[in-house]
Amino acid sequence: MTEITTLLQIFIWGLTAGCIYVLMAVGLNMIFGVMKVVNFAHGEIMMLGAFASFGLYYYTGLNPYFLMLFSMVIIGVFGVMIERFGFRKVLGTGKLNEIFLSLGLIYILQNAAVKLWTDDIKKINSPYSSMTLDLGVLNITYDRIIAIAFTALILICLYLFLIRTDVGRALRATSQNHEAAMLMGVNVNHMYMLSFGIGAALAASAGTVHAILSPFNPYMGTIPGIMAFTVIIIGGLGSIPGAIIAGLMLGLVQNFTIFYFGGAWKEAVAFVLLIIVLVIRPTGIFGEEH
Amino acid sequence: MTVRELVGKYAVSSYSAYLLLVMIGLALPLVITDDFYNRIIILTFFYIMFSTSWNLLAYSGQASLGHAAFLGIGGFASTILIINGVTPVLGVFSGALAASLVGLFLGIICVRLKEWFLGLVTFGFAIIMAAVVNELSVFIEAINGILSAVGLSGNMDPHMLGGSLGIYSPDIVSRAQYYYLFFFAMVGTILASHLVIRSKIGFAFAAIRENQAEAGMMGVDITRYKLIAFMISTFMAGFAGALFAPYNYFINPEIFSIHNSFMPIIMTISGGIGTIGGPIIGALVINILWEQMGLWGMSIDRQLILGVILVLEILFLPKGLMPLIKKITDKVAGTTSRDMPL
Repeated sequence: MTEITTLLQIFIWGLTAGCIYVLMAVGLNMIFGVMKVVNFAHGEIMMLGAFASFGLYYYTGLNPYFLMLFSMVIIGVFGVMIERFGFRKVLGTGKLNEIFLSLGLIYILQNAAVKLWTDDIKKINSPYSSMTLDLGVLNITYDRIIAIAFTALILICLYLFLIRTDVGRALRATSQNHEAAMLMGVNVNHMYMLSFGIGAALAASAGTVHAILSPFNPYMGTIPGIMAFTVIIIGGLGSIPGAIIAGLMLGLVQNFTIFYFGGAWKEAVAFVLLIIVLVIRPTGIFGEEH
Repeated sequence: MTVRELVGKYAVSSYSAYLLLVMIGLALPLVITDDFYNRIIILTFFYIMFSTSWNLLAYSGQASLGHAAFLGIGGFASTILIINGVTPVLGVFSGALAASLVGLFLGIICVRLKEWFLGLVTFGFAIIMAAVVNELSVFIEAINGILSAVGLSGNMDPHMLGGSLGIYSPDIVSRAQYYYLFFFAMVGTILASHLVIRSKIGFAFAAIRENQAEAGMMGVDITRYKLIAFMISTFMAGFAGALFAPYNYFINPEIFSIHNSFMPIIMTISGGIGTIGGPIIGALVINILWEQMGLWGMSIDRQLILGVILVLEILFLPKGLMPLIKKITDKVAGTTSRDMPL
C-alpha cells in the first residue's frame, strides 16, 4: 500500500513540476510560432516574475495567488519592451544575432537581479502552505492543487483567446504565414509584441508558482529555462499541444528518476530524452517539417 | 616584378604583422617579470585559444552556446589522467581527444539541426554537464586534493590573482615555462585554425554557412564537414581546458558555467566573427577589460557590463572591431582591403 502511496505522491510532484515547464514552454512556443525567435532568456524572465510577485507580496502582504496576476501584467509589459527595443532591432539580420542578443539578456537580467536583490535565498509564503487535502491514501498540499488547477485554467483561457477572438485569430494567422497575414491587414509588429508579452506573462506565472513551492534566488531560472527548451524540442517547436504533453511528461520522468536513481540524474535524464527524440524524430513529437 | 607584388600586398602586410606579434610574444617574459601580469597574459592566451576554437565552429555556421562543456571535459579528463600518473603531454592531448569525441557525439545529434536547435542543445548540454558534475562533488574534492598535492612544490601562493577567479597559482619557478607553454599552444591553435580556414575544408565550412542547400547541391558532403568542424573545434577547446586545469592545480564544476560558454562568444563578436584576427583582438580587449574591472572591485557589475556590451555590439557593431583595425593597418601598410579573413 505504501508503495502505491509513494508512487502517487511522486506522480503529483511530477505533475506540478510539469505544470511549471508547461507554462514556460507554451510561452516560448507562442513566441517562436509568431516571431520565429527562441528567447534564451526565458528562464530569466521567469525569475523576474518570481521577484515581481515577491516584491508585491513583501510590500502588500496580500495573497500571492492574487498578486501573481499583477506580476503577470508587469512582466508582460516588460516582455513587450524587450521585443520592441531588443529583438525588433535585430529581426531579419541573421538568426545568430537573435541568439546572441538573448544570451546578452541572460547576463543582464541575472546580474541586475543579483545587484538589486542579492543572491540570498527567498521564499514566498503561501497562506495555504500548511493545509493539505487528505485523500486517505495520500496528502496533497493545497499549493500543488492550485498550481495544477491554475495551469489548466490558463491553458483553457489561452485556447479560447486563440480560437474565439479576432486578435487570437490574427496571432495564429501571423504564426502560419507572415506575408499573407500582413496582406489581410494584420499589424504583424503588434502581433510580435503581443506574443512576447503573453510569453513573458506565462513565464511570470511559472516563476511565481515555482517561488511559492520552493525557495529561489536570481539563478533560479536557468535550469527551468533549459528544461522548457528541452520540452519544446521534444514536443515539437511551435506546437502548443506538444509543449503541454512533453512538459507534463518531462516533469513526471524527472521526478520518478529522482526517486529511483537519485537527484544527480534529474537534468541528465531530460537530456537523454531529448537525444532519443532528436534521433528518432528530429521535428519532435508534434512538430512539422520546417 | 617585385616579391611584394608576387606574394600580394595583402599577404605581406598581414603576415609581417603576425610575425611582429610573435616576436613581441616571444620577448614579453623578458620585459614582464611580475607574476600578476604574467598570469593575466597567460589567461589572455587561454581565452584566445578558446575563442579561436569557438570561432572555427561558428565559421561552419554552427554557433555553440555551450562551448564550456568541451573546455570542462578536456580539463577533467586531462586532470584525471595526469594525477593517475600519465605523462602531462599525453594527458593533455588525451583530454583534448576526449573533448573531441564528445564533440563528435554531440555533432552527430546536432547535424540535422540549425541555428536555434543547435543553440538549445549545446546550451543545455553544458548546463546539464555542470549539474551532473556538481552532484559528484565528492569526486571533485578528491581530484583537487590530489591535484594540489601533485602540484605542491613548496612555494604555492594561493592569493596571487585574488579570490575572484578562485584559482591557485603554480609555483613561481615555472612562470616563464608556463608562459611559453601557453604561448606556443596559442600560436599552434591559431595556425591550425588559419590552415583549416584556408584549406578545402574551410571553403566547405563557408559554403555550408552561407547556404547549406546550395552547398549540398554543389557536392559538399554537409554531414561530413559539419562533423569535422565539430571535432576540430572541440579538440581545440578541450586542449585549452586540458592545459588550464593542471596550470591552476584546481578544477571545479564552475568550468561548465554559462560564463565560460559566454566568454568566447562575446570575445569573438567583439573582435569580429568569422575572422582569424577577431578572436585574438576580442579576447585581448575583453579579458583586459574584465581583469581591470576586477581590480576595481567589481564582481556582479562586470558581468552586467559584459552583457550590456554584447547587446550593444549586436545592435550597433555586429562586425566587431576587425573592420576598424583592418582599415588602420591598410592605411599604415598602404594596401587595400581584400574581402578575406585576416
